[in-house]
Amino acid sequence: MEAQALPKIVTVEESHGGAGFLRDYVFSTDHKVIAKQYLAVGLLMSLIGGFMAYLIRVELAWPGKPLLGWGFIPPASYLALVTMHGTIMVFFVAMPILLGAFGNFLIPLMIGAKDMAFPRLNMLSIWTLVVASTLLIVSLLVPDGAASAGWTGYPPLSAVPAYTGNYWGINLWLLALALEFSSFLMGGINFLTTAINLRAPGMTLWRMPLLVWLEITASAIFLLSVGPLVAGSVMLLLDRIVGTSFYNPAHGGDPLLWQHLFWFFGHPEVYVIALPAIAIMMEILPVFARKPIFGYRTIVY
Amino acid sequence: MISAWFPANVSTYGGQIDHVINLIFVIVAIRFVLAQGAIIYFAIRYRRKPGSKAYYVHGEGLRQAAWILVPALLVLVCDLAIDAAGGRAWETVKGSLPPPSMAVQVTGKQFAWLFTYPGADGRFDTGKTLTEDTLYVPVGQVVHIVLQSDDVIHDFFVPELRLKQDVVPGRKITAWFEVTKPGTYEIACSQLCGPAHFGMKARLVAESPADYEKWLKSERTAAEKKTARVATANPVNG
Repeated sequence: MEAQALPKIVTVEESHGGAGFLRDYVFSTDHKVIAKQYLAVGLLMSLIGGFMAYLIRVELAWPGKPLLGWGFIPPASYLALVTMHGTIMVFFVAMPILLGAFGNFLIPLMIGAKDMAFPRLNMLSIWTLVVASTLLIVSLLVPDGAASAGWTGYPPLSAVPAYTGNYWGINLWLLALALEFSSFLMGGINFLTTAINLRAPGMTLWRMPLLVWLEITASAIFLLSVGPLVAGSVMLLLDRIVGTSFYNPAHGGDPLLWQHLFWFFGHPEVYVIALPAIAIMMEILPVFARKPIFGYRTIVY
Repeated sequence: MISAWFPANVSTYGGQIDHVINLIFVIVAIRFVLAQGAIIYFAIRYRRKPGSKAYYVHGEGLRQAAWILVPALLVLVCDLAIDAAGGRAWETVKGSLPPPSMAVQVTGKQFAWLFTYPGADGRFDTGKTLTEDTLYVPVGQVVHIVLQSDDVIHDFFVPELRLKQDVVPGRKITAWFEVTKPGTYEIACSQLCGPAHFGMKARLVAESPADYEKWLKSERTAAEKKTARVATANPVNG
């Protein structure tokens, strides 16, 4: 049998006809480029979140002492560290890497599609995440301090600026999160449409690789659960900026409303993060065991 | 059991809570040893050796899927056992309110706990209340605490009592406990409430009923003396 000629491997620049940095990267709709952009955001944010973890742990180990590479940490700053570390790691490291990077890169490849169903929506989703990440970093530098009401942001602590002393810190935190949610809403729609519509002929759903199954399940879970939190975040922002009382009991609101809206999303969110990681495990193990995964159908169910 | 490492339990329902934790610990420990043991055993026993052939088991079909479904069913059974024990503990601690010997209003605010005792008439609304920064209670009697917050969400937590209750502004939440052993126990705020959250602590002092009555009487007398002093120092028409 004659060996087939291998496909020619082209660089990103060559595949776009060498159109310049902006065209090749910023305005690229190619799923692999976008996947790598998600990875870059995730890794960059992980450096910041990781450094915060170092500060938290060393402060706990030697409280009150100046830290190497930083200095003293006053109590309000410690709370901001804990808040921002949690937010960054969950929303700007885990989700971009597990869903954005692995999903965008692998789903089209694994189902035999040329690209995602909506390449330009894909581009918009990574732009949105970049804007969200920038807002979050900026929120670290505002004069009243970064958000310090915990990554779960319970009101009234988070709803009344006087209770934390943060004004723009928490406002920008909320805006960054709202943008991050929209980014992944767009991505989720893309993943689902791609997996449902763009499979190669002959690939039934039951023949899809497990990673595709789990990524689209995670996307579906995210789409179904994030709505209440987006609404809740807008309500919290209105409470802070306009003076509404969704969560302020002094004027008829209920702090528990936020808790319900947040955790309606919060629990499914941990599955959104766990499923892609489990999927990666279930793809790699069979390769090295040199046999297909046991119980593919049961796993999908 | 793991509860041997916990702070000493001085509450009548603490044992139930510790039981739930111990139950979860035992179930998880057994499953952990079995699961990890199986993985390690199989990884070594069926490792790649020259001359060994890999055997493909597809796992499709009910008979093979049973290898996944039966352990899943066992997990469910363990879950239900935990739910039953947890439900009983929940019913005791949060679902029931035994008739109290006394009640105290507990107010959490940024960043302190205040304890308001009723006046000698047993009421909170006749202006003869006593406000303290330490919670004194008699041992062996059911105490009700009515929790309220002036500002943000706090959490009233006494580890030795195994009692933890969020204090939510806009609500009055009644919790109960009965201390079994005299002593001084720390009350900590367990819900992030602002920059000085760490320091928001108070003390629970449990004494014999006789000592408690003595304390209460002396506090009431001191409060009355203070009111009298203030009244003579600032006469209304002066």
